[in-house]
Amino acid sequence: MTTRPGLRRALALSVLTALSRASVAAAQPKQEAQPEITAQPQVTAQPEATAQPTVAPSIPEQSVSLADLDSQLGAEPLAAAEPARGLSVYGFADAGWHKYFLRPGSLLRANLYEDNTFLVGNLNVYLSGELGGGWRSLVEVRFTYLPNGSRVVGAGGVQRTSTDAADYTNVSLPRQTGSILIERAWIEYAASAALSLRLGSWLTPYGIWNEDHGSPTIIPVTRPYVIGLEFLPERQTGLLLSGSAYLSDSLTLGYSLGISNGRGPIQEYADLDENKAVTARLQLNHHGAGDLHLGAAAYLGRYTNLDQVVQASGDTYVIDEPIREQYDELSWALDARYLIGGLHLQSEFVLSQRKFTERGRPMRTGSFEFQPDDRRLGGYVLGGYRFDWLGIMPYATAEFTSLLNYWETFRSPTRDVMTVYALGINSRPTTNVTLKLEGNLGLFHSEHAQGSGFEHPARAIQAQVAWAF
Amino acid sequence: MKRRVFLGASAAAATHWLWPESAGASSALVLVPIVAAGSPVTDISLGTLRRVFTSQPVSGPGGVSFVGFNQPAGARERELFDRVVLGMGPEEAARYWVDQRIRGGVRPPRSVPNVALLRQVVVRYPGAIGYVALSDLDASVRPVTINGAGPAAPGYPLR
Repeated sequence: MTTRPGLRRALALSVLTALSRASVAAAQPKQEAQPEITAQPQVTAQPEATAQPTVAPSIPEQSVSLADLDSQLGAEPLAAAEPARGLSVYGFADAGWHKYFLRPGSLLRANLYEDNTFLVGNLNVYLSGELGGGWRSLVEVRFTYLPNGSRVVGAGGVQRTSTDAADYTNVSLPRQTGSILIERAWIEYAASAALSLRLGSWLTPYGIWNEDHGSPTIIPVTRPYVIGLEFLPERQTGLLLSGSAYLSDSLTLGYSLGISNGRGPIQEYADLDENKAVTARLQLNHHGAGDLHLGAAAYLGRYTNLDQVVQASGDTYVIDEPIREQYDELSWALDARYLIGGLHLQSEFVLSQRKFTERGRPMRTGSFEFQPDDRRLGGYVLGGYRFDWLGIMPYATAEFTSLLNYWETFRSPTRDVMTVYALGINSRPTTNVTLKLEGNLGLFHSEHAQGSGFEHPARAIQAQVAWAF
Repeated sequence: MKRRVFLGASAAAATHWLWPESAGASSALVLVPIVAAGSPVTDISLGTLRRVFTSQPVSGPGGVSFVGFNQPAGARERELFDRVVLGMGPEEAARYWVDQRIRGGVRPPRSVPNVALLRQVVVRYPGAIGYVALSDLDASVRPVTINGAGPAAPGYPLR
């Protein structure tokens, strides 16, 4: 996803078990234990993989579609009860205001628009298709004003990208154009509860808020920095297998296993090294005294960026592909969430190790030293309580991120640690609208911080209205 | 293990002795899950109901996927069902489905505008599971026990 840059920016097998057991009959009260019934084992719901083939389907109209059903039901068509399920268009958006409090001259001003600012954030549209026969698709696009206004920090200072274009429909007056980001585009076949196959571009199944990325559903104004930094790739292009095993009435084990192009400069349509990345995730959900969710994910892949140089070789030409940058990465993520009543506790932790190959270690931008290998880690905890009244949830978050300095090239690549605290109120006065007000404090720990953007604490106030439509 | 299926008794007769109070239901709302009268399903666990009505893929006998059909939002039956089975009040359930949709396109079970139509849908749609007030039962559908318990049992959840 695509939360707007903010202070943080600166700173989810086979163990299928019968769901319900015939033994529950033993628990039936005497007055209900009739001879006919007890002589007949109860047929209970089974996970698909363990469905009993000996039980003949007693429902004859297995191929009945909703349209068929509608025609049979006559005057009260079922399809008329709800919007058609073929193609569904919906989405979410957010708008807000923020003010950053930065020290005069702070380098953070190069990345953040400090002055109090209204803004339109995300505008994401979903196209969801139920294709029948177990097939469905989801396309999500984000409309954005970018790259207009995107800042590039270079030797010549900070420059804003301009996308001014002459609008031929309006006497060629200048118009600032935006762009479209394809958040995800996939098709999925659900073979059973235990196996679904998804092909295309999908959000990496790790943690909580990487997939659950809509601003109406995220409790704070922006996602924690550790998610936005993409210690695991936000999305990948490839094949994703997933499924669930119902271990008991209250316990579900889920898994995801993906193979993809991995991270890369054009990962959506080209793998520059044929080295496929692997993603694996296990998650456990328990529904009892509250809902407990535990997840663990791992990603293993190689990033490759290369150039193509055409060279003459005798009477022919050959293409040389010198490697510009290449590294192997192994990342782990853990997540936990517990909900009971209005209480909401949530945490994620991510660890990413990056090791450059011999030929793919780049120079640090603007310096004469090589980029070192890096171990990046971070996490956050969130606690909140949602009241019935207006759906108000006061919440607090604490997060930390630790990584080597790579953006301030005048400093050595020493370890920077960022801690960000937030207190806020999230309210959902109606089902589709979320209001947020939040204060942030960012504290930084860095060697040689003098003159750095991390020399002084940063503060911010942020407000947001997010809505689903 | 080979399972045998109880198909002999009529749905109406089964209804009578499985659900003796149905002949004189009290005003207190008591819900019963229903399937087609010819369905082999006689019992379902609360956990399976929760999975079906949160649109998780669950199959019944013969490999037919269960398909949940809700009563309309705002109905007393819907509110009680969501509260007991999903553990959510109306607002929370509504938020849940908004969040699910944004997360990945998972959609809630269809809601059917009235009980008469709901019974017809359950009879005709393969794998359909619905729920009605005890007083709304008729011979076209089969009431299903929950974890082996009917409405007369102490601790029956859907009341």
